[in-house]
Amino acid sequence: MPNASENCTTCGDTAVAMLILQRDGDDAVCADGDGKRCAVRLDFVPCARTGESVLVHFGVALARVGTKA
Amino acid sequence: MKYVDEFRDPQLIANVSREIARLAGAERHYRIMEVCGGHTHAIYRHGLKNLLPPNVELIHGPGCPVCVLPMGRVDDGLSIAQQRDVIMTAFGDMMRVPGTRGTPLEHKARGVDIRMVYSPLDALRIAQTTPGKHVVFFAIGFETTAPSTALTLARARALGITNFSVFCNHVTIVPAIRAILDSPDMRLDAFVGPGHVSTVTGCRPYEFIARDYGKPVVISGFEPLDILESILMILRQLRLGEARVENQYRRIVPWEGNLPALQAIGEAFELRPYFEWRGLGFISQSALKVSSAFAAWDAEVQFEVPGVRVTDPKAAQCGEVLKGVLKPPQCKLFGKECNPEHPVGALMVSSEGACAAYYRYVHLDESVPA
Repeated sequence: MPNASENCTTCGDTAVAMLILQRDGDDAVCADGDGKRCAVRLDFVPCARTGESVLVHFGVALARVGTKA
Repeated sequence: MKYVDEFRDPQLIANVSREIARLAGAERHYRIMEVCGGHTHAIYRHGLKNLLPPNVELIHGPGCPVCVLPMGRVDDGLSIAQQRDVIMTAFGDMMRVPGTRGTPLEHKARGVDIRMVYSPLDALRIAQTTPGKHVVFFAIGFETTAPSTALTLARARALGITNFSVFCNHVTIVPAIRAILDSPDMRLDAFVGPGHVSTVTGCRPYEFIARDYGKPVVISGFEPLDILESILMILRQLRLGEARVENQYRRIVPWEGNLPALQAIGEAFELRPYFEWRGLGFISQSALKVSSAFAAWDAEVQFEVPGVRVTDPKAAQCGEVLKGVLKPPQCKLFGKECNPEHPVGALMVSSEGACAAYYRYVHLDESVPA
């Protein structure tokens, strides 16, 4: 996964994997690989649960990580 | 770190690199375009070019949304920013993209209220807490970014926030690929497909590339082993005379994409008949505008926008680099008039642009005397 700090974050392909720490409806608190927490919207990953990793781009989760397509 | 360490394993990388060299042989030359700027950046950052045989050439594609935004649209956004009681918000990367009278950052220094935000939802929060001002979000990006703007528009409507609008510059990747494929000087054998764009779009939109143009496409992740494995998968197809869409990035990319995100995009946006891409010119149906259902949140409806086209400097050969006809240092301006501090051409604007990445990771190394 690219490190957002090294890349242009606007690039359509820059996104980071984050762990869902707490989900409340479509709002969640997630943590990145360094443990940094931030608010993330989960509208587009309705099945993602606390303890799962999701791919986050600009505060919005776009995919579950590790669920084989 | 999971999904990072195993994709940077030196032994595995060496094994795949050897297999690529074996499959590539020496009898023909392979030209493979990595569509996305994130891949370009990763290829240079990890020195992957050095792990490929000389007859496997990587061509850097148009997948940097900051780079391809035409200067006229930057001017249009800055024109809105200078109107009374407006707060313009933009991603950090937009802040140094030059318009004809300077970058958003330079305008901010002159007193224009332009603020960096991490997410369009942050821009909406500013609107909620600043009722006397109108907050405009300068939206750019491919299909990866469009869902977050779509979600923000839906939230603005649901919450009844009327002092917020979007200046929409979202673009879509497939028409740009088609434009490259239709270019008379196109000389590509295959594509490394965009990874995170495909989490939203899925893999089906690329099927025409294999079906109609006979070129393999492999959707790829961003770690060194991801990219090398994708190149290996492409070479296997080419050696067998096949052309299919394959998904190397299955741990992230579902074949069908993200249906809720696609639905949100479909509700919030409409296709523009045409849109200008820096370096590539006008491409039909290659960009999104805010849909009529959200006209009350469309900055181009709410504000007068000059819409003046600004011609790119002719000396910058971005179009040739984007199509793989030239390598970055073969452009006459590369590293001289055009450099990351003073970008003249589109591909030097963002760190993900082919020329900026080449300048940062290759050019300076090659400048050091042996």
